Amino acid sequence: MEKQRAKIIGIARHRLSTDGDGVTTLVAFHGCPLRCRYCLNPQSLGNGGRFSEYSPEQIYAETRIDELYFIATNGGVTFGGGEPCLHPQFIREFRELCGPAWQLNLETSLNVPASALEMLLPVVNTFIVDIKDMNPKIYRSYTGQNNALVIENLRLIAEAGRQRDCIIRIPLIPGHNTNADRDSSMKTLEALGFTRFDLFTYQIRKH
Amino acid sequence: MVRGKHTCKILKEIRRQIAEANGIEFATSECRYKGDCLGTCPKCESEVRYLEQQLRARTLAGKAVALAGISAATLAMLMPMSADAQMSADVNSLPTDSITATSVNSVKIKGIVKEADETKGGTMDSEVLIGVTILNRTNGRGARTNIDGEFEIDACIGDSIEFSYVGYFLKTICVKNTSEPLTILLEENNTQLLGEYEMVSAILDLNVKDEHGKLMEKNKLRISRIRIDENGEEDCEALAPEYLDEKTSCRIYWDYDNALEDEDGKSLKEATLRIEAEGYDDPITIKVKYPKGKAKKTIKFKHKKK
Repeated sequence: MEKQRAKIIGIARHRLSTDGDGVTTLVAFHGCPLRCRYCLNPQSLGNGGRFSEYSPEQIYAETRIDELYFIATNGGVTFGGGEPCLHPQFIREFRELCGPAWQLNLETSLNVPASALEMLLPVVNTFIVDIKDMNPKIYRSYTGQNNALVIENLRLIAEAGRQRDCIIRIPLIPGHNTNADRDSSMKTLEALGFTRFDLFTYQIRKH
Repeated sequence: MVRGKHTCKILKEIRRQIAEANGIEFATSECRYKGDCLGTCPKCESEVRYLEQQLRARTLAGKAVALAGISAATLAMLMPMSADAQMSADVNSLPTDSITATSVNSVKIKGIVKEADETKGGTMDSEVLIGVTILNRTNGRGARTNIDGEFEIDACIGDSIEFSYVGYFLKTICVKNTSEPLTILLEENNTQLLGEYEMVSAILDLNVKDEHGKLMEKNKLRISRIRIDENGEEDCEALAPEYLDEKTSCRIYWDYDNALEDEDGKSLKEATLRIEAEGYDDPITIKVKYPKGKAKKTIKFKHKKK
């Protein structure tokens, strides 16, 4: 089988309760299907060359030095980016290496083929999903993409009964949606059985 | 780099709890490093490796090891929950469920724990202590100070409350007033700290002397590793040794120096080091092995006879 390698834009250790519970290490992938206007990590896009290639073994070697903290605080590794769901095989191989005790979290838009999510569901503990807005028009205006895959994937998670393992981020996106839009997104999500929401306002970066 | 220092304190508290839960002797001192802190450093990392070693030894001896989740609640308590959202470009903050225990029929007294610092002539400037264990001896309730050194504990007038913290003298007070916040000053216990361990296993101390036998300081030295690249050409990479004390030129933390790693990021078994010293034209080249524990090497520079 072809050896998995992925472009990584950064590894940040000792993040305390910022992405998932406990002490976590953030591993950020390069590459994203979206082009969000206020993207927090624009270095994950394009071919600017600000990344390094890693294999799952190398990421494991880099992250295991904090295993003691992970286990003691129910922490682990959070994959972000970029879009981590574009690398399901990489993350599965990482889970094989790190074993079941580490918490693996994903910070994702879920705008990926359902087959990728199906591969990830068994190995990931928590999905931190930034849904942007459930309204397709707003979603398109902000990301340049359609959100049909997001909705399909949210359904997939609901069918698997994994709603409790998701934290759904519903941002207020200046110039794109309103509080009424957010309420409407939340209602749609509640109807699918999601209960953990994080409402916040996007920080606007100039770049 | 205040954030780094906070991270460092919290990680230290987690290490302390791991040690305590497993009966591992653990002494640590207040970090004296004055530069930018990233939340960890070779000294902190060496404490982690020490704990791992101790835990492994316990497992091998068939003893039970308590680890899973022992610090989870502490972390939730110590982290500031609200102010962090989108703190920096790549930080997306999530609110974490904070655990607040409230009890019925009791008065909460509040306060702050700080380091007693005579040199600063008062309490205003002394450093707050994070994660101090607070025990109400009268009703058995416990608490810890948060990241700002603050605490709340159930108490009545007349209760005796104990404050304990590694590296500081235990302090017990009697509650006389439940409405005013308390300021508790803990005195550093230097005698305890003298027994501090050195927990790094792979340390190489270099003592570089000039021709008069006088120790040369780190800032007068340049140490690099020489290697032969694939074309058979010599290449060198600078090491990042650290200042230790006035009796040692510098200390090399072998496992944490990137220049002493092979291509897979593993520590080298041996290395050829080139030491250049200010005032001397010729460098000295030495071959050193991976130090199992602590190793010391003395190097003498001499001017070549013309």
